[in-house]
Amino acid sequence: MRKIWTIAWKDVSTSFRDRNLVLIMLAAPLAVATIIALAFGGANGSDIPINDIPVAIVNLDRGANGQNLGDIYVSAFIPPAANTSTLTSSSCALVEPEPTTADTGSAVTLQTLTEATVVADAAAAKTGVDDGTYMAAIIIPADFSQKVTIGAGKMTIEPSRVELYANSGSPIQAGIIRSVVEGITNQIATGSIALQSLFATVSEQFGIMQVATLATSPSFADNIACAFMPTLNKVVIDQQTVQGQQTNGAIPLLILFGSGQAMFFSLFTGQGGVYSVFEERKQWTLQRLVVTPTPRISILMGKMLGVLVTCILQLVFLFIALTVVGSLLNGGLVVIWGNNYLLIAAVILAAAGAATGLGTLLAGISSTPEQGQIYGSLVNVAMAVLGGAFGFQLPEVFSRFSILYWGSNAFQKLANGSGEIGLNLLVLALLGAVMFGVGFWMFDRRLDI
Amino acid sequence: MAESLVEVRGLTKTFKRADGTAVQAVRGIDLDIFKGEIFSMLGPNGAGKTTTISMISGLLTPTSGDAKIGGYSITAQPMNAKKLIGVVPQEIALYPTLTARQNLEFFGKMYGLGGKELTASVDEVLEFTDLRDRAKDRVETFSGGMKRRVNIGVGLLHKPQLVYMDEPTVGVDPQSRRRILDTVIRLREERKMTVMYTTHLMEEAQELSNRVAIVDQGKMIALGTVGELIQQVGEEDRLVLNIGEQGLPDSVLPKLQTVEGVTRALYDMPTQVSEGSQEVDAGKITIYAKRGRKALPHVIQIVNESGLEILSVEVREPDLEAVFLQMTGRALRD
Repeated sequence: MRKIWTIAWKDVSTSFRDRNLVLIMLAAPLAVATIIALAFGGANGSDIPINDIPVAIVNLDRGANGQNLGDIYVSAFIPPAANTSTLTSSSCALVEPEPTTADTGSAVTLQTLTEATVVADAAAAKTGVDDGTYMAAIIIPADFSQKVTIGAGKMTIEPSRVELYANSGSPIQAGIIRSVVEGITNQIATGSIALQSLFATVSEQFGIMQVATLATSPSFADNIACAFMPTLNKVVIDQQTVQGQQTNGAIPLLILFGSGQAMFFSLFTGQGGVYSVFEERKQWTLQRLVVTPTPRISILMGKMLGVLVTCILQLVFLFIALTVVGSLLNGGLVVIWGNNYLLIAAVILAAAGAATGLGTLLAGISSTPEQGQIYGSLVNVAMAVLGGAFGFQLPEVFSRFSILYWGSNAFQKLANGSGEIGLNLLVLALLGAVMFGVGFWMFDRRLDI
Repeated sequence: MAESLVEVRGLTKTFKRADGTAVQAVRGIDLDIFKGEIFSMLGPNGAGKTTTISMISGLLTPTSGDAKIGGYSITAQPMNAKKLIGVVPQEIALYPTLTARQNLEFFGKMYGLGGKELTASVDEVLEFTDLRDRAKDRVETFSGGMKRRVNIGVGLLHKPQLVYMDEPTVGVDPQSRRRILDTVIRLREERKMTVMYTTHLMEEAQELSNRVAIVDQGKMIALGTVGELIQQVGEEDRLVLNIGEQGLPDSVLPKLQTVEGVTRALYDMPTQVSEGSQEVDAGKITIYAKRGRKALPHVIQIVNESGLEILSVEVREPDLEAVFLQMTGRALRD
C-alpha cells in the first residue's frame, strides 16, 4: 500500500508542477464559467431555474372568526388538493392551474420553486434546517389570524410576526424564501387592510349594525377570503430572483456553468491521467518502475489512485475558486454550493471516481494513445453536450446518459439547498466502478512493456 | 574458482510482429557473471543485448530459459531477484519536473527504502555522482551529462549486488563519457559491485571489462577476457584502405593476398548510412597481415596499379572489432 501511495503522490505532485496542465485543469474551467456567468448573468439577473428549495411550514395558527389565514399561507406552497381547508368551496380559484406544456419553459410557480412540507412542530422544523433537510422553516404563530383579521368587537389589525428560520449557508435560496414569505404576508396584510377599510367605511356611512350584518353574511367569509389569497395575485417568481435579494445575477449562472465546466474538465483530467501510463512508458520511467521489486498491479493501482486524487483536488480547487469568484461578484462572502459540506465532498468523490473510471475505460479500449485521445475527446464532448455544460439543455432522457449531468445536477441541487442527491451519487459511483473495473482489466492486458 | 552472481541458461525471446510472424530476438544464451567483475556485452545495434538484459532484469518475460540472480530465479522469484539488481537504462528514465533528490527518493521508496536509510542513501548517491549542489534543482534544468549521472545514481540507491548499465554513454559528450566510464570503474573498485555493461563501442568494452561476451543476431558468438578474444584472431594487424565510392575490380583482392604476410583481404562496399539517407559510408578494403607495416607499401602499389585512388590508410593493432569482424564477416558498427 505504501508503494501505491508513493506512486499516486508522485503523479499528483508532477501533475500540479506542470504549468500547462494546471492551466488546463484549473484556469480554463474557472475562466470559462466566470466569463459565461458575467456575459449572460450581468446586471439583469438570469433565468436559470432555481427550484425545489426544501421548505418546512409550521402552521400554529388557531384561526379567528371562522378563518384560518395560516391555512391560506400553507396553500400558497402546497396545492389545496393536498391541503384541504375551509376555503375549498370558495368562489375563488384556490387551485392554481398546472402550467401547460407550452408554459413549462417560463411559468415557474411557487410549487416548482419550492418543495414544501408541513411540519407540526417548530422545533423539529428548525432542527431540519440545521441538519440541511430544509433550506428554511416558515413558522406561522398561533395568533396569526387573530391579529391580522378584524371581526366582532375587533376593528383593527395588530402586528403579527411570521418567523422565517433560514439556512445561513445558502443565502441565495434563503433570500428567495424570505422574499416569497414577505410577498404572501403582504398579500394577506393587504387583504386585511382592505377589509378594515371596508368595515370602517360601512360603519361610518351605514352604522355599526350594518357592519355586523355584513360580517355575519353566509357568503361573506368565502368571498372576502379572496382578498387574502396570494394565489390570485400569483407570486411572480421573477421578482424573487437572486437579483431581487441583492445578490449578483451572475451567480446562478456561475453555479450552472461552474459545475458543468468543472465536471467537463475533470473528464479530461481522468483521461489524461490514465494516459500518463503511456507517457511513462515512452520516457522509460515505467520500465524503471517495473524492474523495481514492486508488483505490476501495485504500479497500476498507484497510477489510478494518482488520477483519482488529482481529479478530487481539481474539483475541490474549482469549487473553492468559483465560490471566491461568486463572493467577489456579490461583494461579500457567499457560499454558492450550499453548506452541506459532507454531501459536497461525497459528490466530488463520486464525480472524480466516475471521471477516473471513464478515463480508464477509454484507455482500455484504445489500441494506441493517439486513438485513445481521439475517442476521449469525442466522448468527453458528447458527455458535455448531453450534460448541458455548453449552456443548452437537452431533454433529460438524453442527459441521463452523461456522467456530467449526474455530477453537475447534484452540485446544482446542493447549491439550491436540496439534499436529494442519492440517485446522483449512486449513478456516479456505479458508473465509475463499472467503467474502472472493465477499463482496468482491458488496460492491464494492453500494457505490454 | 570465481563465484557466479548471475547464471543464465537457455534464454530465448520471441516477439510477434504486427503481421503475425515471429522474430527470435534472443536464441538460447548461456552465460555466468562472476561476483565483482565488469562484464560487457558487445554487439551491433539489434544484436539482442538489451533484450537479453531486459529478461535478466525482469522487464521482459523469457519465452524459454531462465536466469538466476544471487540464486533467485527471475521467473519464479522475481521480487527477490529484483532487489539485487540496479538498472541504469539507456534512456534518461527520470521525472523531469521533479528535483534530483525527489527522483532519487521516489525510486528509493520503490526499492523499499524509507526513513533515515533512504535519506542516507540519497545523500551518498548525490555525493558519489557529484550532484550534491544541484540536488534541489529540477532535472529538466540539468545538462545531458548531469541527467546521465542522476540516471546512474537511481540504479545505485539500494546498494545492489549487480548493476546493469545499458549503453550509458550513448549521445553524451566526450567529457561526460569519460566521467561515466570512471564511475563504472569506481563501482567495482570502491563498492565491490558487479557491473553488467552493454555497448556497441569496442573501445569501451576493451577498457572496462574483465570479460566480454560478443553477441550477434541473438546469439553469443564469443566469450572471454579481452586478451583471450584477441588471441582468437591471432596477432594480425589490420590495414584499412578507404577507397570512397569507387567500385573494386575483381582482380584486386586475389593480388593482395599474394603479398608476403597477408592472410586475408576483404572488401566492404560503400553503403548508405541509413535508409533514405544520402550519406554514404565509404568502401573499404581490409587486409589482415602478420606484419602490417611491412606489407603496406606493396598493398598500396597493387591498389594504385588497379587504377583506384586511395583516400586514406589506417594500420590497426588487434582489437575486439577485429574479433567481431573475423567471426561475422561484418564490421562492428551501426
